[in-house]
Amino acid sequence: MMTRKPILSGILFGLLILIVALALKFAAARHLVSVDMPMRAIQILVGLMMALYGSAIPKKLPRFREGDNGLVQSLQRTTGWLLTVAGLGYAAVWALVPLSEAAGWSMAVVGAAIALVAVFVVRTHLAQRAGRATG
Amino acid sequence: MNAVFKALADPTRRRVLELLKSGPKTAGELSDQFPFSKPTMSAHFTVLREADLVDMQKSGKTVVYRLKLSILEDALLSFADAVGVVSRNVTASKSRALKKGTP
Repeated sequence: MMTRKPILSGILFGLLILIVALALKFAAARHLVSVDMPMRAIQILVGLMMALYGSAIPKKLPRFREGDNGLVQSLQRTTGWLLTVAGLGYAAVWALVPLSEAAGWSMAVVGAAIALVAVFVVRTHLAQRAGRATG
Repeated sequence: MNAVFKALADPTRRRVLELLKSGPKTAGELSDQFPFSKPTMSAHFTVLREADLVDMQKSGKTVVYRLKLSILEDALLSFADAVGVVSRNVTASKSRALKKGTP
């Protein structure tokens, strides 16, 4: 679903987040769940969405070229793994860490993943340039 | 999803996916790694393509395959491999025990 209908899946996920947020706010106002539950649930959903989108990255193949050495594909796989693990980590932080510290830790997890992705992008770019230079 | 499980259930197809992790390969390069006939390998490639786990491109007279695994499918592949190795070991030890005459 994620790869074939990205717009529809994005809209459905957005609706799911809105419905869960409203339902939990309603429940918290009536003391059915704790007051921090709506925030935690939304952030866990955001983390799971990041993991799902990260998982789908390697499915979107670059256009095939003669003599393709698989460097871009390898970068896509690495990026997919990093964002999937970061998304799951983000969700785990919001599920387990005290609310006052969760924002900082979750941002650290995602920030570290994005920094690593940037490093791999630069490495791949340099390797491709070196490959082109040597013919 | 059923097609994915069917594709990952076979050790030959799992090995093809593992080989493609190192980059795109032609049908010939992949077939050379296995003791099977070309039609058999072609059938395996078709199952993988129908499950959307590989991408096929024609380049002149050769057919090039590329990996098309999501991270979830990649994790499933690793899991299926691990389970496959364990079940092969269990089957082998059972058959050795049967040959020795011990239950």
